[in-house]
Amino acid sequence: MLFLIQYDRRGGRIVRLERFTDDQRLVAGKARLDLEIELQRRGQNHEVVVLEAASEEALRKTHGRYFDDVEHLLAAALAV
Amino acid sequence: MQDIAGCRVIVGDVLKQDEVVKCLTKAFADTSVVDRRVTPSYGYRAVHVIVYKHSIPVEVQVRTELEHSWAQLSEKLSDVVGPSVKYGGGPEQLKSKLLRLSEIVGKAEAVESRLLAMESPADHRKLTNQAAAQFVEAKQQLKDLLNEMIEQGVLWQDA
Repeated sequence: MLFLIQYDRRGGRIVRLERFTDDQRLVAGKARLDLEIELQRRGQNHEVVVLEAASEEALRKTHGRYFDDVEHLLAAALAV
Repeated sequence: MQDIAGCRVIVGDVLKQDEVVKCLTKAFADTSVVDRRVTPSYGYRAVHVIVYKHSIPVEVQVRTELEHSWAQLSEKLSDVVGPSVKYGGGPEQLKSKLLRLSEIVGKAEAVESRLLAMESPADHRKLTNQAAAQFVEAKQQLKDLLNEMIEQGVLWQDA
């Protein structure tokens, strides 16, 4: 699966999360470019990425920074 | 930044981490390995393997669960406090706690590595007991520090 993420770094939160199937790589790439252009036009300094993962659960594991706040990440570290 | 694509692999312990790195260096003809467990970058620990696919460099980040937990925390704090946190900057207290956490992770994994590498623990009972005690101690230090950070949320919230 592919995931387009718009992330507000300073706020530490996801603004937009869009899911694409594996065969929609070009669509996801275009959506990313369109979003970057739109944010640039609006002067919004958000991070935009397209990530590939076997599932959303796997993505949340490898890129928890986008999904979890500091408290959750500290609690997760405690559980290791 | 030398890579234009990347992926991340998270494994349970340092021995598995070594195995994954070995597999990658065998699977790809041209690779370079950066072992940040030996020389952490502002506390960041992991092994990065740069592999080349059609002459395109791809960075594979191989992290243990503990290293990954630290990295995620550091990245998140860089987001909400400021990007300098990732490069050894930011509020002094926060910086020292992150570095201390990283040191403990390194200590715990060094002992874990010794424990896991022992082939016949029965022959090394004394050494095993010693290492196990050191590992438990390091994990406890890690927990204490994490709990302290949870209690002192002000460290990043008011920064």
